[in-house]
Amino acid sequence: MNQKIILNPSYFWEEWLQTMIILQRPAVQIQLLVITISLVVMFLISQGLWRKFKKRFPEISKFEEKNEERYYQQCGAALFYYLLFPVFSLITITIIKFIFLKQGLFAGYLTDTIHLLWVYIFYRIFLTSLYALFNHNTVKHYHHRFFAPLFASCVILHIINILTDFDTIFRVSFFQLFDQSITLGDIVVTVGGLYFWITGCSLLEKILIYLFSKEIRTDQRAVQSISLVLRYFLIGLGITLIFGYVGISPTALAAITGGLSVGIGFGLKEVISNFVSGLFLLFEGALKPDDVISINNEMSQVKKFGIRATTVQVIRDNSEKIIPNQTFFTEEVTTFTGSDPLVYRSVIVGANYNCDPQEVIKVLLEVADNNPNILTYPRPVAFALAFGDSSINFELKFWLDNPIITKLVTSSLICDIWRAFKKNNIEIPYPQRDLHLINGFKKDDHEVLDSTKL
Amino acid sequence: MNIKNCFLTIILISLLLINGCAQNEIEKFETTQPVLKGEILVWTEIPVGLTQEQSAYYKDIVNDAIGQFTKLNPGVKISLKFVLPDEQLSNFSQELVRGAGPDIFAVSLTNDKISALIRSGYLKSLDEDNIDLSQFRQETLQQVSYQDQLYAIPVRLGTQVLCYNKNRVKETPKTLDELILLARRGYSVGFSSTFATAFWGTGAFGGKLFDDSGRMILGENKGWAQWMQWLKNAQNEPNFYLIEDTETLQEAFLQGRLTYMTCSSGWLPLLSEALGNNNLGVALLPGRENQPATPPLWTVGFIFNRASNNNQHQLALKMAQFLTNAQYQQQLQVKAAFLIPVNENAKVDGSLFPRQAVLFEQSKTGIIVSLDQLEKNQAIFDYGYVLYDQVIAGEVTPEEAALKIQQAVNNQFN
Repeated sequence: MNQKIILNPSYFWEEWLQTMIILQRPAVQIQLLVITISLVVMFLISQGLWRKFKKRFPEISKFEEKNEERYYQQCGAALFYYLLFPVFSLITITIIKFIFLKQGLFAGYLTDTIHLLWVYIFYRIFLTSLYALFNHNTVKHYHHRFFAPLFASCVILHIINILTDFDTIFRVSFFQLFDQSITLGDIVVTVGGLYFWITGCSLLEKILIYLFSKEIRTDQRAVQSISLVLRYFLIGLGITLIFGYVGISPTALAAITGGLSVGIGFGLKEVISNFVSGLFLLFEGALKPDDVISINNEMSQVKKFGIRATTVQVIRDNSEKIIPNQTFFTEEVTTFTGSDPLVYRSVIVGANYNCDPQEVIKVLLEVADNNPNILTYPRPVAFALAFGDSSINFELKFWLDNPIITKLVTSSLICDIWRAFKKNNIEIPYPQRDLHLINGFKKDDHEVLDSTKL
Repeated sequence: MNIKNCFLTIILISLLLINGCAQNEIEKFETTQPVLKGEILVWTEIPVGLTQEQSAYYKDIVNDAIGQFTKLNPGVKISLKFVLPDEQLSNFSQELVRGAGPDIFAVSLTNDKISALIRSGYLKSLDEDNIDLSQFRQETLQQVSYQDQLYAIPVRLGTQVLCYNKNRVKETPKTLDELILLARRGYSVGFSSTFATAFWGTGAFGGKLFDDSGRMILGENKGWAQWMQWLKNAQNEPNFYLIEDTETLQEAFLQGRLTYMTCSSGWLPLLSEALGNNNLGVALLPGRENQPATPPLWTVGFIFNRASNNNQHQLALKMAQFLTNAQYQQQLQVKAAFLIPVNENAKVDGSLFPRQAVLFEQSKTGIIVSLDQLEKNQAIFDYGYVLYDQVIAGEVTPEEAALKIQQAVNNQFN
């Protein structure tokens, strides 16, 4: 760790006193008052204007609900909404600054506010562009979790730096840990740095997926796997770098992890096991996102890989299951999309003994050929399977490139076969039974028998 | 109630009223005394060249002085911040633009940024009628003035002296000729060699920087040219060195390769520590017969923030006056032997404090460049650096250099 001068918490008192001294000055008071009033007034005016705008253009002002026909108008409305307040404030404060300077008054805080407003305007334009170009929910997610906190942190740090020197404030130490002074900077960098790094890595992953899948058109599942591995690598790297920057002693860290390893071994056995399994899953590549698998006798599609658990979507009822990663190593899992996504499926159908089997096979193949979901290569095939009790049984075998649509295709095939058989006068017989009666009948029985004779 | 009780009651009430009046009188008397109350922000520059320990010692001295002031004025709270020289001046400028920053800042006034701050209207001019300036050395007041307005209160001075190694030599040269003789006898001499740091000999040849009206006459009276000629000649003498780089010069002196060296008063703490306090000798810079050396004087003064409210400004002014009174200046001089007081009455006994006495004596013949002169002539000074180097390198003669600088002065002001 770099040698740094450590200050004690009384520094805050000093800084507070200095700020109070500065706030006693009329030159400062008037600037702060003018800035506050300007911002409040401009906020109210911009809100009023937006309400009028909404009343007049109700359709385009609902820019959260994207309307393809009014796309550009909505973008304009979004820009209007997002920039109204900062632009009005910027114009007002710039004019006031000009007047202040003309009058020989101090205007440094007005200049600082103008700089901040410019940054705010660019931030709002950036956000509006994101909302206009990308999925609203995804942008909203990162807006609230990444961009807004990052922007707020930068603004707060800038304001602190205007009032005092955050570099010095960050050197204030509150307590000692492993004979090392833990400073405010260490805490901020560890908490804030980790948060922004991890969220940023997730954002980076999304950007990579977007770029690779849209621009390069590579195998999306591979892209997702690579980006996931990259994400966890970056998170690991970030944690190491941040701990290194903060100066957490490797010896102390080793001592803690050594001491805790027994506890971890017992208490977090499952978590660790899942974590390691997750790593294996990622590096081995046995499963990838979008893979269709059968686990616990249920066909599901892999949705999301996590380092502890994997989320799959059950095809049967569209529910989602969170399966601990180690399950994939302890249980048998069938994948339908391992080396290729092709699946071989069949439909069995019976035909009357009066029909020509070759004719039936021909009809079945025609039906398969006419189904758009069935692959033409490998070719579908049909077989006469067996002489059944009531019918000759046939099997139509076909290839699909998407295991999820099996049920849909099977259903469609059955309907098509029924129609084709009817058209070609091929009967699908009911089960037939010959009954042989050994002893005589009563009079009533004969009557009944006569009445049921076909 | 009988008459007796009634009478007693009247007497008691009267006594109470009289007592009340008496208390009011005391309060009235107390309130007529100026009671200082409020908070101010003070920045003070740490002198250049101090080690970490010396800086800590210097901070203690200042803290102690501020402590004495707040002890006398318990209603005053002072937030003190020590800043590094130059580095903080741009920071200070940024703060001033906002109306923030210190109410009072002890800063070296040789920086041309100060006049820029004054021009921009960020520094408060001082009302000379409300400040007792009689105790200050007049030359220091000249340095803190800008366009006939007082913009700072001087607090300490710095200058150049001759440093020598007492282990190697006991005698000190009084004149430049004696110095050359000593060099010939094997006592090595090193001069700091730039236009500003090697200017001190100009006065010994009758040279002047400004005339009485404040016009620059460096090239007119030949003194500078003659001094540079002397330097060029001395350069050819054995054991005589002109060294431009400060660190090289200091290192050569501390390693014993130089016996005599021109040194800034600010170097004394560092040299004392490295060489041992008793081994470092300090003497007046050598001059010529009845013509002493004229080293530049650098003033550190208190400047005042125009954004301060009236009370803050008054408090800052009172504090500045306290720190420049004779008693405190004497203390400062004794505790920090490298600082020269600005108060005329702050002389210390030379037999007890010989180093301080030499510094004080040397400062008497020093030359001051006021803020106006610094601002007006900055380009000329910059040109002086170039010409000085050319003269020492033998590219131009001293006479040519003097002529060129005077031409530059004439071109600028005519």
